[in-house]
Amino acid sequence: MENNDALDIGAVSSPYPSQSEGVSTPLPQVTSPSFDNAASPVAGRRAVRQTPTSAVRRRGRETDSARRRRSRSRSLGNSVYSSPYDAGTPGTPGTPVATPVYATPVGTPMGTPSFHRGTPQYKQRSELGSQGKPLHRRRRSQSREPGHRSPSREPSADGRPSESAEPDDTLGGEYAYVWGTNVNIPDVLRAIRRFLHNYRSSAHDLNSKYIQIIEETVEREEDTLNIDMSDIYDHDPDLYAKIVRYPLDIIPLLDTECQEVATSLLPTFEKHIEARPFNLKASVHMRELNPSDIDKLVSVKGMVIRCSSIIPEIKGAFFKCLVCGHSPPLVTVVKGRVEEPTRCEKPECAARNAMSLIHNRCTFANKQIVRLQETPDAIPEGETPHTVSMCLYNTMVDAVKPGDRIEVTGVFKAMAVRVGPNQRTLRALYKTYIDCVHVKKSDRGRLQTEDPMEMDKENDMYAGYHESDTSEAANEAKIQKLKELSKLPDIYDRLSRSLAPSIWELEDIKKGLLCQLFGGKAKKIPSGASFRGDINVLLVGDPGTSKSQLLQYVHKIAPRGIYTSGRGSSAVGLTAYVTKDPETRETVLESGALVLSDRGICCIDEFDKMSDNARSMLHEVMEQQTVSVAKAGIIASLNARTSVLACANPSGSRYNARLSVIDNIQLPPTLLSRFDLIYLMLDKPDEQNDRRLARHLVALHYENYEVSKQDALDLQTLTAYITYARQHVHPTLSDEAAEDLINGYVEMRQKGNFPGSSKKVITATPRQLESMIRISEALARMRFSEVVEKVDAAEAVRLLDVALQQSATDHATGTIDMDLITTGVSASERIRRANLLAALRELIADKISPGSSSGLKTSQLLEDIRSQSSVDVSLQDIKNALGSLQGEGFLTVHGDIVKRV
Amino acid sequence: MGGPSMDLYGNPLGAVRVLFERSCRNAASAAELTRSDWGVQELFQNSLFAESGHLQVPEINSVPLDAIPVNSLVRFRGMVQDMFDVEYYIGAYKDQGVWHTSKYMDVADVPSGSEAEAQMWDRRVLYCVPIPGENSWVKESCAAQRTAALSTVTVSQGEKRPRGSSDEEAFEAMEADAPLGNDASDKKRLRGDEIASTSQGSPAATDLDLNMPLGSSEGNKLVPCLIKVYDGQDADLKLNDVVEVFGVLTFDPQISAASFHQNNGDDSYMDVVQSAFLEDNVSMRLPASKVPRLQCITWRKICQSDYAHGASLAVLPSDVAETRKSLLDYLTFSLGGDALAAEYLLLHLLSQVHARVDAMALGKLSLNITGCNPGSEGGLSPTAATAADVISKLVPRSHLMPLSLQTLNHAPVAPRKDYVSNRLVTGAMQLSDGTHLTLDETALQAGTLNSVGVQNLEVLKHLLQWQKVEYDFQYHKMEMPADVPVLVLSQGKSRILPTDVIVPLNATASHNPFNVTDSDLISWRRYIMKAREMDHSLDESTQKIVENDLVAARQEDRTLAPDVFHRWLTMARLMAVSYLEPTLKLERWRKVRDLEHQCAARLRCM
Repeated sequence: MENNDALDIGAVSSPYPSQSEGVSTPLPQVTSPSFDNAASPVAGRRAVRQTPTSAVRRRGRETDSARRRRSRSRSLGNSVYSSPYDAGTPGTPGTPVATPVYATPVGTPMGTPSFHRGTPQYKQRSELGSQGKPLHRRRRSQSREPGHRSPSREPSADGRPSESAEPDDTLGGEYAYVWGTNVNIPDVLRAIRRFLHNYRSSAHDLNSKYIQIIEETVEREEDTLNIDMSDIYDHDPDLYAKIVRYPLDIIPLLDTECQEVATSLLPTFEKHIEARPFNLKASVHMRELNPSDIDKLVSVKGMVIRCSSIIPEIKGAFFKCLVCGHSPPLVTVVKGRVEEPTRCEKPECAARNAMSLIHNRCTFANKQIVRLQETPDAIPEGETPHTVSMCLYNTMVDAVKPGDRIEVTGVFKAMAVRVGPNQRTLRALYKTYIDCVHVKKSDRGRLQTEDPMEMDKENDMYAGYHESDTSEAANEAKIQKLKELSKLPDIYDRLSRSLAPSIWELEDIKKGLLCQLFGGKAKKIPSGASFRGDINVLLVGDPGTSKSQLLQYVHKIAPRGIYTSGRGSSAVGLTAYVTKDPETRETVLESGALVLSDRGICCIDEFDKMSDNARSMLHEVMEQQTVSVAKAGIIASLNARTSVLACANPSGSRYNARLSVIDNIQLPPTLLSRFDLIYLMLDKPDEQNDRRLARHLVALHYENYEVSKQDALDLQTLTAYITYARQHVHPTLSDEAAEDLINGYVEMRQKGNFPGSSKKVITATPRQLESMIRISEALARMRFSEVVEKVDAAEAVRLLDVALQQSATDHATGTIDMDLITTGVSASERIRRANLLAALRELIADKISPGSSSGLKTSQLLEDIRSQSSVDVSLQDIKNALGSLQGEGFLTVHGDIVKRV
Repeated sequence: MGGPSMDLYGNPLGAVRVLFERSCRNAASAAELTRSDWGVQELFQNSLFAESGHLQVPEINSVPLDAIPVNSLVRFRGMVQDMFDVEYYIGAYKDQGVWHTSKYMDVADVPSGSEAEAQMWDRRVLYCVPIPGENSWVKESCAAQRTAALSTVTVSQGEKRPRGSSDEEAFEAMEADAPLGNDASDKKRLRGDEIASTSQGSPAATDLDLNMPLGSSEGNKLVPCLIKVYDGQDADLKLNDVVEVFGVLTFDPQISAASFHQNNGDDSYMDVVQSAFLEDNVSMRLPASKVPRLQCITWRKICQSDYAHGASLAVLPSDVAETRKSLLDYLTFSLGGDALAAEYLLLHLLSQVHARVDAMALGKLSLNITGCNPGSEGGLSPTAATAADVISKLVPRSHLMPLSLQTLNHAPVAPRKDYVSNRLVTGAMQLSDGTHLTLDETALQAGTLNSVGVQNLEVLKHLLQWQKVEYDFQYHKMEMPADVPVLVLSQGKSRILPTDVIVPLNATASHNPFNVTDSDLISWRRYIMKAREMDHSLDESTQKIVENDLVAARQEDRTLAPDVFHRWLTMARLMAVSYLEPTLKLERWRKVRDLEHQCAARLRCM
């Protein structure tokens, strides 16, 4: 914010009835040591006398010329003072006056010397100077009846120590207090000075952090200084507490001290530095704000939902006598009102009622009212979000846009609601708002920071800030816990169990989805080519195999994600489209689902129902990770670094075992090859599975379903685990793992090269090798391992294999042997089956000699196996095993009779 | 006067004041008064609930608003439609050395000098609408009860009311003819004026959206209320809760006048700036004649059993079978003699979400009855009309929605936030838990759905599948859990709306006339309420059998998906509950399987 020559203009923005005079903020009259000999004590005294207000804050330390220059530069408008992000302000840069409403013709001679002569400088920050009503602050007995305070505001009216900071007082004036408290102002000033001069961010830093920052600020000719409150807390907890408790009084002192440092560094520095404290130790939830927070410094997080247009706030009114042309100095705003001079002050003229307000020579400040709403994650279930209004001033104006997630630091204020614009009666209602001193855009809660370069660096406002909303220690503990989890030997299984525990089995699919959630590592090679790290998954399966539920679940835990249905999605709805903004008539680019899920997961249900046109848009997204738009004069390429999770039904809506895999999926091979994992979710007869399903469902319906999710991580932990891994673990391939992956790929490729089968099965392409790398990286991430090891590679090959039912595919025909499908079979089950297979092979080898004509009945085999084995074996198990053995060409089965080949 | 010592109902603010003054005397500092309610709640709750005194309190919407004196205790039954922001007000102030309170008042005339001593407190403002879809029998019985209660009271009115409160002495000390009493009549007159002025067709008042989810369908004017809740009593209040609020009806002519002016829109610069702050104070903008203010003293959630009105819910087992049978007969008759569909309809009526696991809502059983003939000229299907009528007689809240292009394209059914007015604009799908919804798909004809219509269908689909409604907050969506049993009536199988069960209707031509008596209806309603309150469990042995049964069924028919099993288990639960049995008996399970067989057979025939 800029140096405001005038008092705040509350009345324009905020009704402030006269009754409330008595309770307006009692502010200390602080005078900084006058290092500037030009500022006369007389001027200071006069200032106070002229404006019998409680809220005078005088810093008479500027030369006339400095003041003049400043004043001129201000009237030259926006461009001078706008912050870097101010570009969107409606006021055209170069328009002489801050707001379009009060535009001044260019070239008007501004700031004649007489204009300022003898004008005392009132500097009051809009955000602090507005009429706070510190109702909570009970006066001590020494204070007068507040109701009668204003008439007796003459500085010399009484010798009350709290009010007697005379201009000549230097810091030695030991009896200046914040009114109504025992906070001694000189003490505070000294504490601030100590902090500024002595605080070092680390022990071996030679220079004080803030002196350095002020130096930089001065060099850049800026006028704001962000002060990290955690630094203050580290240095002087008492000062921290005072700032939070009495921000209206103490923050101006911070300004004063910073200004002093700045002027000592560069005596010609003429701007007014404003301190912007931020990063309070604790931020308040919006719904926890309560009357006891009023007039305290609070920090609130939320999402901007509405911004008002810029409101010009008059700071100084310029009058001109219509008779003689004489202009008195700028009349400052007192309590939001401008006292219009009734007669010309020139003794020769003294015309009555001849003073006229000249708009374009008044000074204004920018102000904006912004409504903040709770972020979605802070809203308890079943309630609507709370909102709070806030006022932004000067450089902070237009720093935020609707939709931004921000964290504001400011003073929580209450303002009496006046009923009707012209009524002066005060009803017992208050409107609350936050006067901001600092705004920080945050993008927390979403996956990001993969690329720290993207962070807003140009902005001083955010400099030197490390994000954390809980204390370091708590965070540290949380991370420690996650790390411990990652050390568990069964973390992989545990994670997959935690994913959608209500959905029965489907373990390998869950593992695939887990890989997708963790993601591979995006690579960029120096030549500029980049390789995506996102893993795309396609689920193809029979109706009723809980595909949609899996999608819903992933959508729920994905860091950022959009859930859409292929039916009814159009190409533009998925990518981006161009529309006309109804208000501004500007052409705007609106993002579609894929762009919105940048760095997240885009879940597309009913992928097969999607129109070909829409589907073809995915080609670019899934490999290049961008969306290109060339429409209505806009040519843009938007990032869409998203993982796609799609699900589809087989072409005949049910999987047809007689057709090949490709024929069943019926999607163009170009698109298919872009999916890293394609899962066929087939339903196959298996009594064991059915029993587990039945048990699971019954348990689900009768409320003891917890049994099924032992050792699982809860949703929060799972999300935290994934987020941490994505942010902090960037594994690289080890040589052995690379070797294994290559072997796996070659093998897979050979399978595809089966003579005459190329059209029938999904053949491996170099994309599959990339997929394997990504999946193995994701697997390493799950263990928080920086190196991809052999196990990861092996599991990656297995996952790819399982996904397409490669093991069950007859590569000659491309069909799948339904009996061999292993989807959804847990590891233990697989081992059990392998054991059974081995046992059966042995048994048959024992009983039947190769080529003998005698056979064995399956029932006979079952009995034999049962007598050998300790676990229960069913006829179906035997049949399955026999099926595999038959597939190996070890034996033949004719009806019930098993024969050795 | 010296008459009735303490008129809790006529002059509740007087009672509040007495209690406040007493605690002032005890309190050491002003701060001590802040977070206590001085025993107000306890006093009123004792009087209201312990002796069912609540029936004597006039109810807004059953008694005309202008017949209720201002500042008296009133009752309001409604659904929380929107939650506004916290309001800060001067709760207590000192005038000439004496503490006063303005709690439970809209505004207070705080003398200018005393402000420094004022205590600022906060209260929550809720916007409640009359319960959407509430059926007329509920209202009638409520009204009947009240008149019954009043008639007994009027006899003893002259005498002392039997209250037996220990606080009585304190109240006796209070003067009954407090200035408030006089105020009340004054304000009432003013209020009458204001009503007259607003009803003279000022545009601001007419296009003011009262946000009733289903509109005020019944022509009679039901008013929503602004409820101000004190002392954090709102902690467990949620959106769409159905509540009964007891509070002080307040009215302030000045504020109303101001809001009236504001609505008329004065475009001066002053207003633009000021409204930037005031705009979010919706409570200021709603005219008090349309939206009465209620200062909530105490509230409670309305649950099922409230509709039984004290009558014991205990039903003898022998009666159960009887009642179930007669209800089933009635449903059969209503569905044109289709007993199978009637069984399904009964189970459907008893269904409710009893648990949520991940995204799944367990316990819901949405029903699609196919084979309904469309109504003539785009009107309602006769089946839909009958079904909706029958359902409205049986459950407390229900709604029939023709799924025509027009209704779909007309307005979004999901609530959305309007940031300009800072209100949650309601939609037809903002329904309280337990509200039954009938969708008549036969009304749908070929035509174009606009984007609103497409979204509406998505919302309905989502509701059917997950029992959740997505509220649109513009920058993000928020899923609100719902519990709305949906019955879809269609000609063929509904391809748009996925339901749990599909039953083709097989109406027989012959209709035996069926007489329904009031006592029948009452016993059926009680039966349904009782059944919905039942807890249910499954013992080990039955569990084993059920599991085996499921496995066997799946071995037999590979196409049986987990969905089907979910349906069977839900139906089994409902079947047991429909006999008011706490555990699942095997014969109920068999019956479910049997029903499913019959239904599957019918589906195959089609």
